Amino acid sequence: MSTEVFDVLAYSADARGSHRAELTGIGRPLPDGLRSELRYLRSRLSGTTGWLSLVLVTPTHKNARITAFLSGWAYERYWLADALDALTADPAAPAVPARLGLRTRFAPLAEAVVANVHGSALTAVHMAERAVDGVFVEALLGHAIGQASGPVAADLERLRGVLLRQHSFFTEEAGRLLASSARARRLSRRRLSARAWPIGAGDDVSGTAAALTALGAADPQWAEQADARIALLPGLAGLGLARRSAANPGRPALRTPLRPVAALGRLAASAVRRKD
Amino acid sequence: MAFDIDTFAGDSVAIGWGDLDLDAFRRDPLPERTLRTLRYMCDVEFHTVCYLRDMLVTPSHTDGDVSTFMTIWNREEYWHGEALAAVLGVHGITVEFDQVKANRMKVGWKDRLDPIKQSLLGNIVGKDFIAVHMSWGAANERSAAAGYRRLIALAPHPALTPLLKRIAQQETRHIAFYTTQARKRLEASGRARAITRFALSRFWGPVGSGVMPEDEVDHVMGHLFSGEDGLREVHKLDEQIAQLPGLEGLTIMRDAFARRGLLPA
Repeated sequence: MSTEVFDVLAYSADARGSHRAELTGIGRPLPDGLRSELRYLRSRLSGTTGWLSLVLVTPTHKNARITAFLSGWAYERYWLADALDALTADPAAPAVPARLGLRTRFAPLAEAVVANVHGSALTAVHMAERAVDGVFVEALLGHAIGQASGPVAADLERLRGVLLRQHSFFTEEAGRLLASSARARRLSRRRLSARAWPIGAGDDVSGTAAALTALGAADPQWAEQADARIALLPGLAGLGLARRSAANPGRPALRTPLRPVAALGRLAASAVRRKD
Repeated sequence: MAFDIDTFAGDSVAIGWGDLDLDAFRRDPLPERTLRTLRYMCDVEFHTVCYLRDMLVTPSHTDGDVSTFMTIWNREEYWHGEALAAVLGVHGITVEFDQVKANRMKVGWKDRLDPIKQSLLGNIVGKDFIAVHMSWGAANERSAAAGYRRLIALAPHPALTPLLKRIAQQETRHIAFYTTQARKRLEASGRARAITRFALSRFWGPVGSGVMPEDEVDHVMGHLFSGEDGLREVHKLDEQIAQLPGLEGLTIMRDAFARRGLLPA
């Protein structure tokens, strides 16, 4: 008997398309700060194909329930980004960069190879990534709503409803997968610490810095609260992803160049102990 | 007329069947052969996410229009799968997530190697590889639409026929995108024409081959494209593909059928 609560079939039938007909805030003037924040959010909401390119080359693509959700999720994200384009009067910004760096171009290939090592534990990582990202996006959107007024605030609240539904899937799925596998928990801790937040933050370091700085100025407790939410996911307590992101926006919480240094340090320490 | 991706996205709607009398299937159930073909089509529609994967690992997804198209297309193909699953469900054939997952597991090592192969090729060939994908997609979508048309002709039914017509109609929008993109990219690059011609002539197979069991591919293609009318469709598909720049004279559908022994002697 299935223990899942989120009804993917119902979600798939009901995934939200264009919001333009319902937006009442189009054309309303926006404070500069709010416009920038919404454009930053727009970039975070779009670009799903980049993340999917890394996910679908792993065993996650075999999980038909998850891929059914993701087809609706990517569709909804497209239209959420479009809604923000409408509100910020921004002709649609490119969803993907015109040119990918070498690392990004070969990332799916590397992930496809690595997937053969980690197997289905990667699915937990993917769900946890989106659950964590959802915490950041909600905090940013909540701040934007606080800065908006009237019809724009109402529009953003409606969009938040769509995002909350998506987030509930990822949180539930991540919770279940992490709870069932110590390997998934270890891998997720490592992977989540090795990336910048929210997803895509590394592509726009200055934008991330501005967004998180504004968020922190309005709510100094946001990072602590976000980390507390993330800590509720099995095995993810104590990562401090939000705190570290606030301190060093656009950079991974744990910078990978430190790992070889740490390993060398351990090797040196063990050599010294043997000598003693 | 230029393909308008914004109109394509904006006009995308779920295939509906709530207005169709599915009880008609209880009064007049579909024959076994038709159900077998429908099951194949349903599985292939649900398998779209794997085709999407193979495109995402290449430069294809870096193009804004292609990226938008893939998002909407993946969603529409999923709706097709749901619609066909509803028909199968009335006949006592349940297509659930676990079964779809089991089908994907059965593909085995090929499934693990395909994205690696696609990514390597895509990165070695570069942006010209998008022309391969678009041309391949055009061929796949044309053969899928033809398959639906043939099934409408072979198995007329008051509930099935309108549903298949709706799916086929949505497939024509996919054909329009792939064909427009393929034409543009093939016209622009001799290298793209050469690589695409090589890839299609050597490796293309009927939609579903490579992921469905071989005997199912043979059964469905034999079911849909046999007889004079079926063969006429096969020839027509080849003529349409051969109209793309650099693909003159190709007969990928006939060649694929010949390899499978599906052409009359």
